Amino acid sequence: MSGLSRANRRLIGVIFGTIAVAILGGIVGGVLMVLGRKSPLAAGLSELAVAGVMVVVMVMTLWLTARWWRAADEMVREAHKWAWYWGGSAGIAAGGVLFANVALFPASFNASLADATPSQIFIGGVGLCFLLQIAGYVLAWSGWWFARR
Amino acid sequence: MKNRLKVLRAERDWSQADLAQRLDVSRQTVNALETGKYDPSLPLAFRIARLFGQSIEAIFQDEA
Repeated sequence: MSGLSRANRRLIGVIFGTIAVAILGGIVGGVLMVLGRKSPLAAGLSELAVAGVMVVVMVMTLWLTARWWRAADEMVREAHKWAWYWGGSAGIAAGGVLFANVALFPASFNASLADATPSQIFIGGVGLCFLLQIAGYVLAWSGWWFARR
Repeated sequence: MKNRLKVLRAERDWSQADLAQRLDVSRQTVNALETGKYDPSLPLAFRIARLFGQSIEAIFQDEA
C-alpha cells in the first residue's frame, strides 16, 4: 500500500468502506428484524436501518462508478454507452411486449397467473423488464467487443 | 476509417503498448484504431496528430 498514490489509497478505502457498510448494515438490520418479532419499535428501526444502509451503499457505489468512468479508456466508455442504449432498449422492448401479453392473457402463460392481482402482474412485469434490460446490455456489450477483437 | 497509425508507430519502433501509454489509452484501443475497427474521438485524434507531428487528415483517411 505504501507505493500507492493518495488518490488510489482513498479509492481502495472507499471500496472496502462500501463493502463494510453493506455487511454491517445487513447484520444490524437482520438483528433488528429478529427483535422486531417481539417489539414494534425494533421492527420499525430494522426497516429504517435496511433503507438507510441501502441509500448509503448506493451513494458510495455511484461515487465509485463516477470515479471509474472518469478514468476509463474512451473505447471502454463507448462500448458501455452503445451497449446500454441498444441492449437496454432491446431488452425493455422485449420485456414490454412480454409483459403486455402476460397482463392481457395471464392464464395462457401459466395457470397460476390467472389468480394474480393487477399489482402483482405489474411488479412482475417491472422485474422482467429490468432483467431483460440487463441481459440485453450484457449481450450488446459482449457483441461490441467481439466485433472489435 | 483507414489510417497510417501502424506505419507511423513502426517508424518509431514503438510497440502498441508504447503508443497506448503515450496516448493515455489501452492497448486494445490502439489495436482497434490500427485495424480500423474503431474511430477515435476528436480529442484523441488531435492527441495522435500532435504526437506524430502531422495533421489529422495526413493520418486518417475518410472513406466517404
